[in-house]
Amino acid sequence: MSGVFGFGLDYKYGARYPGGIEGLCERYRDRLSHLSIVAIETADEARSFRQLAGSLPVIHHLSNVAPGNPSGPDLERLRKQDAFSGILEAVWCGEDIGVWQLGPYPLPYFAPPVFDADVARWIGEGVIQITERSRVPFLVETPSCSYVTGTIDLGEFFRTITDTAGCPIVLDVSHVFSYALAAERPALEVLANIPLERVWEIHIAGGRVDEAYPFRYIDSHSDPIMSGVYEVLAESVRRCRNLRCVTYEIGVGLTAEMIEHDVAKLETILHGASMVPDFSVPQEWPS
Amino acid sequence: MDPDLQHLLQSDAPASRTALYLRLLYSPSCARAVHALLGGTESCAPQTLAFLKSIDFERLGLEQKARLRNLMYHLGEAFPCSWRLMDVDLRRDLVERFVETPSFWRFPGRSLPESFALVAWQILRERQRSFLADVVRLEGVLSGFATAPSKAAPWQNLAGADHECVATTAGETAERFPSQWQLLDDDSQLPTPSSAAELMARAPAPHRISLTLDHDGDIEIACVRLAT
Repeated sequence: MSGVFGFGLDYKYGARYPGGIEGLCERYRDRLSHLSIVAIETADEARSFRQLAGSLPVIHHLSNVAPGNPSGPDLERLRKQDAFSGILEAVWCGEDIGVWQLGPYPLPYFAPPVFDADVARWIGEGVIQITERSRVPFLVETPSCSYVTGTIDLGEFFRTITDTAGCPIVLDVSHVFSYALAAERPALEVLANIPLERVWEIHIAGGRVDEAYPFRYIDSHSDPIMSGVYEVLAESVRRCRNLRCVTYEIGVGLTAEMIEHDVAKLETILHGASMVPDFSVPQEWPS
Repeated sequence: MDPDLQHLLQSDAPASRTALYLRLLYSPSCARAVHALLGGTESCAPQTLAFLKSIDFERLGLEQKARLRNLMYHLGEAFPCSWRLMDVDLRRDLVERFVETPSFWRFPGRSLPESFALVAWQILRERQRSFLADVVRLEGVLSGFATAPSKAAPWQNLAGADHECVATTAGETAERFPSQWQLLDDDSQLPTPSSAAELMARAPAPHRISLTLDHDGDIEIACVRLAT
């Protein structure tokens, strides 16, 4: 039986996964549809990961290319990352939309964008620059939000970006849940306003709600997946008609038992929804 | 009002608004200035004003505290020795002061930790804690040098901070600065709290601290006592 979901892994923390990154992938290889990898910084790392993936398709999760930075996208970093996408034979790449840099330095803690229409158009123009230079489709990912500002909502913001850039979306359902908590709105209502026809990939990960401040979601990737997030996943899989795959992003600190518990739940939901992963890229992309 | 902040408030460009938002996420004084502006008569660009009106300042305060904790954690990775020599209140005080200085927003260091060290070194010297100041400087230079060895060291522009960038006879890049303290213990390691107490108990004497980047990309730190 082929897998209905893939793993989202962080290369720099490879040694901290149960059994190491290789052991984890080997243990689940027959149950995976693909692998997604972030934090590849050298060609050797890209080659090594490509070899580890074997016959599984690879998605390249970028970082710090950042069309939402005040200085716009880092096209030099994109050039390097794009070369790694080539080595990885990535089917596509993507990145969370937000602020990644404090001037020349990586921001210690990623920030979601200001949710304004003109900010979304400006980011969309940056995404066009990325798309023009990327050998594979670039997908914009809904960001994690512990705090929300601006004059439009998440869905309208992403509709504006994708209408400007013609790009697909990575719908991170944990991040949608975080936005809903911060905005004090029902998560399924937030979901309904996102241009779901643009969604190619869904991300899901573990997290928790701040005990003292129930409007703050902590996107740890190191806790079990919350039941409210599973609800957003089930609804998203049902409604995203162009969905191609689901990626379970695994953080450090999860035990083998915790991973297996969430994997089993994911498989139940995705088999129930007759999920069939598909890594083909439409001819008409970008649209 | 800080002219940089005033400039951001007068602009309606999305990039400027994003830069303003970043300031608000880290700087309580910036948030207070903006909050006061909303109740006053000072002008602000229209879309920027709409953004400012969307801010929940109470929650912004929580976000700032979370980001400050995260920044302390992040800096702790670059200052493992300095952090052990400070109590948590001093760490927090230095980081809170850092985010309110131009150094946090104008990026003088070759890395974020080096920008922090430029601020913390001056504060600690003013408080007569010169041993700790120089350990912070050493770890800050180490971070900056490791991040961008070919970039000019920002310490050369700082009053009272003699700093040399030189090429060694073996063609390696090196940086040197003076200290009145032996900053490495007798095993040439950065000090622990107990060895720091012992080093501080010794009479101050001129030393030269060197960081040398070898051809393999490793940085060697040395502390040499100079003849008086």
